[in-house]
Amino acid sequence: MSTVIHKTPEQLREQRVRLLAEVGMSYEQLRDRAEVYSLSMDELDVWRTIEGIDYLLDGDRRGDFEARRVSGRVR
Amino acid sequence: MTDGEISKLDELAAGFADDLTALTRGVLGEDIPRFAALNMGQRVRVSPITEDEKVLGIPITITGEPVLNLTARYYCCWDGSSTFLATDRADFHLHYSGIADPLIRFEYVRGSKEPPGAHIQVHAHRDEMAYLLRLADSGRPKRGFRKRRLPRLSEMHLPVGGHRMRPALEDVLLFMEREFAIDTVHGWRSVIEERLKFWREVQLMSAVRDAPEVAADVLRAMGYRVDRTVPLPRSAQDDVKLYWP
Repeated sequence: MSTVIHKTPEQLREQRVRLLAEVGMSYEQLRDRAEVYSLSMDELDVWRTIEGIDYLLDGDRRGDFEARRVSGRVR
Repeated sequence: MTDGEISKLDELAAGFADDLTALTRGVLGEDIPRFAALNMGQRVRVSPITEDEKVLGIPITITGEPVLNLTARYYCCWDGSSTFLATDRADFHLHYSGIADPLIRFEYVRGSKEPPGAHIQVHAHRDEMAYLLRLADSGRPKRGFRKRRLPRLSEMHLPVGGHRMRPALEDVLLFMEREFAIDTVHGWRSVIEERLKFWREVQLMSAVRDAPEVAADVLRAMGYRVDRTVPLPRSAQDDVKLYWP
């Protein structure tokens, strides 16, 4: 596995959908259960991954185009 | 971002992730999962991850038993005018193995003054503390009461020295070794000492940039000759992280 992994916003959104499907919960259900630590450790890892995805997506001020360019160049 | 900035960001992110891998493996052993940097645009998340790119905790053993799990995550952003990755957020959550409710959380939020940007949250219980957390008819106690949230000691943000003097992952590893005698590998202490020195010096440099006149006065008092040849841009005190809680 490479130390630096580049993702496009689309790829991150797809991963987000896959992760929610994996735990069989909506984002709100997962968030609410995470808040009271009513999750298994595997579910907690999914929640933490989604938190990270949302941080990255929140910083997407440049749109998908440049992120795709970065991804294509380096990955 | 220009191609040069993209390359620089990759270099910094890879270097940061590799440093964290070297630290944790140098203290806990070569089986510890590698840190990876997940990058999208100007933001980077650095943490150990699984093959399918999920956040992965670091197993910590005591006398060979994997009884603890440490999650270490850094959220960083690229400041195009700088030559470093700024840490937007960082958290180290220590769990008893298999229990989702953490024992202790060490957290940092770069933009936060209230609660303090660098803080520790302890997941424990004291009746007296719960009482105090809802006693006052103002501030956080009142807000917690209005929201009908049960008072928990873990909602307290214990300050730990402000933005510049906050604990690093090295401090958390030292804490676990000191308090729990976690399993470590030969040479662990020198790995931590070297990294901790680096961390403290980086933070010292940031603090000096925050308060250069104070630093210059101290150096002059020590016999150094310190002259400023170019005017420094003055930040409003409210913007200076050194003075933030």
